[in-house]
Amino acid sequence: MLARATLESLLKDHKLDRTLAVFPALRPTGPLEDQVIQTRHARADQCLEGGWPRGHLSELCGSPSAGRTTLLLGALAAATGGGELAALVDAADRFDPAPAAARGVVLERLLWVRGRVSDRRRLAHVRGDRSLTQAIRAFDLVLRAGGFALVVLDLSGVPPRVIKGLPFTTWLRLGRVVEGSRTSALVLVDSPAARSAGGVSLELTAAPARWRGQSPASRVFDGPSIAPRLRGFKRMSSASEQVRRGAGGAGDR
Amino acid sequence: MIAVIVPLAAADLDAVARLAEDFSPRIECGASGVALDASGLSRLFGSAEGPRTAMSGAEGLARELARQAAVRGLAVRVAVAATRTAAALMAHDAAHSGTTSSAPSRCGRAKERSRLRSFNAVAEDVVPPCAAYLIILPGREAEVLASLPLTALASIADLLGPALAHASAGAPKRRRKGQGRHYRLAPAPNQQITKSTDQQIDRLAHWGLQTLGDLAALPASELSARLGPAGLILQRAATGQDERPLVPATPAPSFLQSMRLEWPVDDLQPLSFIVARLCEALEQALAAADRGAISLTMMLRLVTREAYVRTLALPSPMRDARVLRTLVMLDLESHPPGAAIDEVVIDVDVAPGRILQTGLFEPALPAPEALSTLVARLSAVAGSARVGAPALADTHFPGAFEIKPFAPHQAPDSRLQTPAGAREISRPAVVRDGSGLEPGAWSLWPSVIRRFRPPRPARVRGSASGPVRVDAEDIRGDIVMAAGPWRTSGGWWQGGWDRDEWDVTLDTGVTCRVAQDRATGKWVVDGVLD
Repeated sequence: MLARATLESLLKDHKLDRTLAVFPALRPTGPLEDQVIQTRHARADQCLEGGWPRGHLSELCGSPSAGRTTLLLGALAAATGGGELAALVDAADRFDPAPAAARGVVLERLLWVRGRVSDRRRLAHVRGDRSLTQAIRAFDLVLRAGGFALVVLDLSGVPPRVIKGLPFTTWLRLGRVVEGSRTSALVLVDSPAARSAGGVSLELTAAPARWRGQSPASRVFDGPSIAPRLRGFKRMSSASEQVRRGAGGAGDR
Repeated sequence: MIAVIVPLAAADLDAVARLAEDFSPRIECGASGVALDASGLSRLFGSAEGPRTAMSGAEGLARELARQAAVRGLAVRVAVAATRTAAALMAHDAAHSGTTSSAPSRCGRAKERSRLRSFNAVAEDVVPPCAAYLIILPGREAEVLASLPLTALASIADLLGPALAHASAGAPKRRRKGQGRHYRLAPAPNQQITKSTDQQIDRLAHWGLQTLGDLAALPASELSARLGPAGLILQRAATGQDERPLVPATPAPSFLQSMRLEWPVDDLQPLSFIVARLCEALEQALAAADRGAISLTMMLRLVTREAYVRTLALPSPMRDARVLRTLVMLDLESHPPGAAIDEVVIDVDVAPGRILQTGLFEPALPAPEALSTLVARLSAVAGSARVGAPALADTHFPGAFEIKPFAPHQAPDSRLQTPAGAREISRPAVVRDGSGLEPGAWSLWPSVIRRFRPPRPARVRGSASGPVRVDAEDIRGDIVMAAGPWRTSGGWWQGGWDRDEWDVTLDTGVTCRVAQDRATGKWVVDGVLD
């Protein structure tokens, strides 16, 4: 080990260290937009270390009125506003274009696939509902087509029991499809269900809604209080990843 | 060999062109008549008794042309020669001779026959009532044309005009010192060609020349010294030499592909092979013409003698056979025909190929072909009416929207214009006092709502200050915070709506929007604010 340190020191003195050090070259060197898709929410982006990672399957879970749709629209606005394409597979057909356009989503660049189910009771009692299968198939088709910066599968409102009834290879397969591409795959669910190994799982904890005004006539809903929390595996920053790779490389040698 | 057909009536030119197309695909129409490339036709029209020489074939062709014209009621003159110029000059001369009287007399025909025989030409055998033909032996063009008047050159102005115009334009015009530029409108091309030819003929006539033979007899060097290249062009025409080869008219390409089936097909799987074969032929035709299909019409003739027609509007010109086949089959899966298929016909509307200039700093979008295929596949899964790009509807009805075809290549560059919504968001809400906003300021930031489609019926208990409890499917609880009512109405001319909306937060933590129809008093939950 001492010999290696001496050798690296000598190389650094002669400015030859970068020719042999291959690990920094493997690190993504592009701008942040090339690696992630921002949510346009400061705390969420901070938790996600910039945004939803490209090339991975991530999930956004939380209870109703926790702000999932607000974060979703922020990500859609970031993707479509940058000239890229986004797709939304809306299993329960809940998307409303008006607030999306107001928040900067370029609707012409958004591919919207509307599901057929709007009845939670039907989803809850029919395991393996055909509409859920169709939504996942549509999600798969869009991912395989490529060319989209953000592809969202909105399963909000679908009971976790139904989602857990899917074959366990479903999310693995979807994660493999998006692996290595510039597409960020995102699944909106009520409770944690699926993500790829490199993806992130962001959970929005329940928080009181924000209101402005005193009387009912003058009061307005000021949006949900978004309280993001990263679950499970925390995505490493580029610096820590570099350290890990460096250590792994030294150990190999 | 070139055959030239000159109609006696200019209005018959199109009919004569169609007549010529029945004999050869290589034809060229112009003011000098319809020229037909007769090369290789001697085997078809040669004499059965005698040796099938080129001349016997030319005579047979000319006779058949004249006969067919007579059958169709066309008054024409046909001339066949080794060069187009010679054939055109002779045909025009015969036409002008024929038009001197509406019905050529036997004397006229006899005179013409004798004149042709004096040229050692093969004269007509049987002259139909309104048609005549003649053949000029190869190598004898100058001799045959020598007796024609000099003004005959005006009849082939469309053949000589471009060369004459080029020859006259070749000499650079010098501008004297002190003279300004003079601008005038240039004459129309046809007028210019005719004018330049007539000017040269008039000049030659002033020299005392009367026939083409006189012009051909002039020494070329002297003629060139006086008239320049134009003089040599006219002299070559007088001896029957061509200035340019025959340029056959390109027929309008047809992209219709069809296949009549021996046995009816009632399943889509075998049909896909047939569609693939037609699409491959279509791709080759489109590639040869450098065109792409922008609209594809598929007509299936069913065993019930009905025609099942489907039309696919393509977002951009495309000709990839696999893409076209996939689009067709996906459309047929969504809209299957009602009976077995006897015949498959595919026709396309074409447009020039897509030329895409991408920017260095623009993100690359998927190819339109890939997007079309994706949308077609998604339509097969979810339904064509449920796939597309969302759009705002021109109404204030809550939750109204439209679905438009997903065509991101036609979308305006979002970075060049600020979205209206983004501009509104950036405007801060003005708090006028501690308790409320400036009227209307809240509407600049519409709440993010997940809408129930259709809205869920609800039972709402209320008090004097507003609703206090909501009971609906999956949404029930006591209201801990409420804002409203926000009254909206509209569309009174077609039923319309008139209701009061409330944004409420329940004790379960769910914030939703409830609305009461003012006409019926019924409550619904529009959706969850998220």
